Amino acid sequence: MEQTINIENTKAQMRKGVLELCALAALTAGEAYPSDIIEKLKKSKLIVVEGTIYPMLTRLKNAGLLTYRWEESRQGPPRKYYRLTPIGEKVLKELEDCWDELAGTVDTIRKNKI
Amino acid sequence: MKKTVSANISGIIFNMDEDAYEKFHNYLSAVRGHFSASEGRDEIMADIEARVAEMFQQRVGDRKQVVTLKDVEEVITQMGKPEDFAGDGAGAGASAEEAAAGTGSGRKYRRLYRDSDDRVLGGVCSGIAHYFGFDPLWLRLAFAVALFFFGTGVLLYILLWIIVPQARTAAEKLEMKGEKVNISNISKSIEEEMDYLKKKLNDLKDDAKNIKTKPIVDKAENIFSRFFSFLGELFTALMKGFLRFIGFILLAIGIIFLIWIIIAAVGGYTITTIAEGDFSAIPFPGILNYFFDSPFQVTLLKGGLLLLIGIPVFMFIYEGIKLLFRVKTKTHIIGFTAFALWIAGWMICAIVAAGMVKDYSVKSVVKKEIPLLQPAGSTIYLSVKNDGLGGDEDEDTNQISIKINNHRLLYRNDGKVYLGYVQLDVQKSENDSFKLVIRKISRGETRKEAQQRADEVQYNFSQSDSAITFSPYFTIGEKSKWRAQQLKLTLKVPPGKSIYLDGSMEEIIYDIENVTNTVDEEMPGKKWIMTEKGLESEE
Repeated sequence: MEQTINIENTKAQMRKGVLELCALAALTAGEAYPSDIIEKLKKSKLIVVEGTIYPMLTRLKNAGLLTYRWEESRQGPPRKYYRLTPIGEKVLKELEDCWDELAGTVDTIRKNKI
Repeated sequence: MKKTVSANISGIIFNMDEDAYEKFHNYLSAVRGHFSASEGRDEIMADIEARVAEMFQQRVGDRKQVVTLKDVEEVITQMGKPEDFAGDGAGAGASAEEAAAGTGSGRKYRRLYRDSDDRVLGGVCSGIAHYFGFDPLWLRLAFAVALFFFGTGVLLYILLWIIVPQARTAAEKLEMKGEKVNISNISKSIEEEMDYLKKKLNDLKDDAKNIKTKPIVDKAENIFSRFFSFLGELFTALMKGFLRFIGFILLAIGIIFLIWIIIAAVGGYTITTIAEGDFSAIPFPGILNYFFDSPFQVTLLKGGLLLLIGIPVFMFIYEGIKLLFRVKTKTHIIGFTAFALWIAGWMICAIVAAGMVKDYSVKSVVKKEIPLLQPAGSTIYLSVKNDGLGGDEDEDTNQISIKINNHRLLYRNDGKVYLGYVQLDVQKSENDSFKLVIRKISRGETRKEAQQRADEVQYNFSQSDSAITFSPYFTIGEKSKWRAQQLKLTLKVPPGKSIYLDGSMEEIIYDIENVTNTVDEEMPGKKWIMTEKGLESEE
């Protein structure tokens, strides 16, 4: 029992670590509406529920990595369309470098072990 | 048919089924509770609400105009519950450590709930254990042990079962295991509260400074509304602490009275003689039989009293626990039921009382004239002697004395009841001999009954030549009931003869007429002579 919980936790931690990277990466193609971002992340099982994305976007926006504009919507209330700021692009680059390095390291270790 | 509620979600009006609205409202509150203000809660909530509005809009149309419970459930599943946010590790303020510990929620203090996932009976023990952070096993053990002490544990357990709500929703389960409530946490939350209030106060000051640049109407409105909202928040902060304190007091009072009731009910003892201010244990059932017609009446009264006293005690405990542990309840059923039972208690007591009152409706007097031995001298010496009854009753553990005004009731372990309301008057004799007239008085439902009870009254006094010794008590028959029996003595003194009132006589003399209009208290310790005009002091 105890162990399964820990494994689940570790998995969650790993996902959490790359979540911001992925969210930022999802915006490289241009501006996007949260639901678009959610779709991309959901497909790769990075997030399970939509509620996760809103706090993160707000946080990234407050940190100056993202900015948004309002757009009227036929389907409901106005939507926020997010895009990367120059700072956001810089951070994304940094995170991508980090990911490449990390993935390389993990790979090396795993192959050595097996 | 269902009632609908209209709700404004992100600027769009939705008609929602009442149950759907309730569920959605709870969900939003739980989500809101998940984030702290510093994380940009308002913005996140606005985003989430906007998205929800969109999802609802997709689900309603011309044919289906109302948001149903199913819609809400689907949306919640899609949006996720607060604990799911935490599980995904994106709970905004949650640090990695917190997430690892599985407590990634925002600032949420624990509340007391019953844990239905880990229960033996109602999950009371595990709920309390969660609250205080220990193993529920110990508490269960304690309750099991308490079972053997008059079943105290059972009563308390059932009380808690009723009072403490079950943790049903995920948010409630989170709250149940939420941040520990300890001193450092409480002080932290108070600090936060104070910081917030300080900020508010500063805003208020700034406003006051900037006031010159604003139009006059705006000024007043702004300052007033700011000031009152500040006062409101200050008041709320103080009230929170105060309510807990009140809760603690209520709970303490409730538990003390609960123990008292249990002792009274189980031991058959209770504390009376409140009139005297001293508390002594009285074997209640024994004495009650003297006051009541039948055991049924006693049982009825006990039931009535139990409701009359027990219900408020229960409500004290109920409200105390609610305030102290910040238990949320929505139902008013308990309050209404308690009130109804309490009224029922009053009615039962009133019925019993009405039944008793009629037992006192008729008064009957039995008069008896007892010739006394005529003393050799011209003076009779009068005194009162206790015969080991009353007086120093504290030394005698075999008897219990109750004193209400002049009525003294002595209940002995042998089952006899002695009543101390003997009144002695002194009057002029019609002839030349001393005489004692005894009037036994009792009440009853009928004249016959009253007469019989009066007959059963027994009184003892003794005479040896010129000394008469009275007892301050009389007895009612063993099978008799107490119906305000009284005993009035009249000593008839022939003119020219005198009496000496010993100091102890103060206990029984009552309104003796005399020439000098001396009050009863000052009459003993003196010799009084009967003249043609009346009783006169010889000094």
